[in-house]
Amino acid sequence: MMSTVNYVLMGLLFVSWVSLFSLKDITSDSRQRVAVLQGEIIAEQDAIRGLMNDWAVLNEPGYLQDLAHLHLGLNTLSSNQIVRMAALPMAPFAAPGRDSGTMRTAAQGMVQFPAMSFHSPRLDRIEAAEPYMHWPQPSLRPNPSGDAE
Amino acid sequence: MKRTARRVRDDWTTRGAGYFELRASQRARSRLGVLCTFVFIAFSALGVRITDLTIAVQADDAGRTVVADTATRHRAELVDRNGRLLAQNVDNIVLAANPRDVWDPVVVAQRIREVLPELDEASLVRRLSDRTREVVYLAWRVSPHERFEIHSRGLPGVIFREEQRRLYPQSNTLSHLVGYARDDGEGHAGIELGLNEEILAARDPIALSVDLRVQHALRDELSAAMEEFSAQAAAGVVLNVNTGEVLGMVSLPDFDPHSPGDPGLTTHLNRATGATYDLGSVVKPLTIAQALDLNLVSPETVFDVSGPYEVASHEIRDFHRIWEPIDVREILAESSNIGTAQIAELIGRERQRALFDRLGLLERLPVEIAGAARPLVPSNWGSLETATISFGHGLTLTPLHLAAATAATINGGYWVEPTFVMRAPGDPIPRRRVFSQATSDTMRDLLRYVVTDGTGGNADALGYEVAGKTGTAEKPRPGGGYDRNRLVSSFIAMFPASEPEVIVFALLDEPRGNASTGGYATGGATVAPAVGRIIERIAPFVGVMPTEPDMGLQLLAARAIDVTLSPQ
Repeated sequence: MMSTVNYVLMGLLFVSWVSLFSLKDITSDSRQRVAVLQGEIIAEQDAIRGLMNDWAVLNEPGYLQDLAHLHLGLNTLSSNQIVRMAALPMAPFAAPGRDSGTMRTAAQGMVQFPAMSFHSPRLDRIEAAEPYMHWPQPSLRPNPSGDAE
Repeated sequence: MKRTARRVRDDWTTRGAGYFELRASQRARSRLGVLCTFVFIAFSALGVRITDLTIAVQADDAGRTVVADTATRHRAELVDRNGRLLAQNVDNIVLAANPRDVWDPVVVAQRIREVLPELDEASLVRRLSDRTREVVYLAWRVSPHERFEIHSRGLPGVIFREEQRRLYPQSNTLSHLVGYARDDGEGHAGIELGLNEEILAARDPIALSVDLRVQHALRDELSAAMEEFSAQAAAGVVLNVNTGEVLGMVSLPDFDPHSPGDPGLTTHLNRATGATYDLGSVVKPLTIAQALDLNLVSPETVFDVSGPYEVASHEIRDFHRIWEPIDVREILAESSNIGTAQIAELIGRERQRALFDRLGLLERLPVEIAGAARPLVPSNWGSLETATISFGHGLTLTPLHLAAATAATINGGYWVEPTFVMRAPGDPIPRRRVFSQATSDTMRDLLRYVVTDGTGGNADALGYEVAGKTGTAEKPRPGGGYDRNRLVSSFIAMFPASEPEVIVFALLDEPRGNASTGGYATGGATVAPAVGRIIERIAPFVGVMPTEPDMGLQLLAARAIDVTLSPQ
């Protein structure tokens, strides 16, 4: 009986010994890998910080302003260069009898434009002299049926 | 021990040999059992510990990663309200040497230049030969690869130091606002000093209230005005009137925060929060607002401002003599000192001082920036001081003091505590009521009138309904009195007048009039045009759209869209 127990204990001892050392090996390997990864993380963080700093330097408003002025001939924006979408005289171009319509924009695809907001006598005069032949185009009209065009 | 031996001897004499063999065998077994039990318990404990290490330790691993993450970050990043980087730490390797350990400065310098050819050889040799010093610095920033290359050359005496460097990618643009931190990792000026503890403790970037685009526009226009009028210095503040957030703050001349130099230099003086001025007529709106609020006057109340006005044996005069009686609206529009002094007399000393106290004009502002100045309050606030303070002489203020106080006259009547840190949506805004809503509405009209019909016409940016007030103050002479040739010219503006969002205050210190201003160096002639340009540039950034669209331009825009959309 005792000898059996002894054998079992010795077996357990051996298994524990092997497990312990293999675990120690795995642990030291892992620790080394963690150290390497930590080094890499720190290096990457440094690199990210460096890139963020470079990005911020290259985007410094004064630098961009000089570049835009030098290479693109751009100057600072003045208030009369800003127009609201809703303030644009879109309504005169809409088909008769319609109070709103759609237009295609590069950014948003088809968008609804509002009903005619005002009449411009000056615009009416110009429109009478130069009729807008190409507006509205069939492809730009709303598609009430919902079918594919 | 003796007793045991005797007993064994006795046993040998009294018992048979088989008996003792049996006893010995039994003892050995029991000892072995005990030993096995101990071994079993020990290895069980080891097994439990191994299981614990392999399974339960995972929670710790995450912690270790975080430690690695934060190990190098000593000061938190500073960003503007849109997340644009203003200050950050980077790890830096510094190349240095101990000249006493350098055996041949010329050879060492040549070897170093093989890796860093941009360094000057003569300068390197000179520094490496300086045996009076223990450490000389050779290059402030070398890459890890360059360090490896130099290290592999085995140069005795050459050392590397790993340091944290604070970088300010916006350089001079925010030098006074952000300030700077030195190599010791401590803040030494501006927000870096004022929020030093918070920056050292924070793990995430700290968002300041400043908008980098607004800051640049403000600095750009003030620099241009300073140059155009040969001013000695300039300062500017842009403030959100409803939240008290400082969107821009400039003091010129400024400095490079990477090499700030001596803190005593005049370039280090923050003229927007750290210096006080007799600001002149830009203070008048406070006096008018108080008189309106107390129902002492209405915009139509008429005063005689034709002659010199005597207060406590001193004569008060106007810049331009006005011969006819004018109402309060015109007093503000024409910036009459005599009219304002008469209104201040109606208000009285006690009430004036109480108002200035409620507007935070008698104390240092509770702002996060270091070096905020305390206003110079007259020790004797008599009737003469009441009159002169009403039009901006005798009480020196910082530009930020004035901007925050004037905001209360047009934002619905609240004095809002200014801040340099971005307020999160829903955050409580520290404010107190000073004027009524009706007073605020009236003041918007009166200040708009100053720009449309008064001295502030040059600030009228097209489409933005600018309201404002000019200011021109003579600087005090060292021996007493005021110097007519040394002016502090300023302008305070708010827009849009119907529902003000932003207040802009700018000043030029000792501007010189030129041909374009007819030789005048007043606030209306020198600063107002710059403020108009600043407003035109910053309005889109603060979400204010022009309110007077030009019909012709609308038509052009419509034509452009038509052409773009028409199929070819």
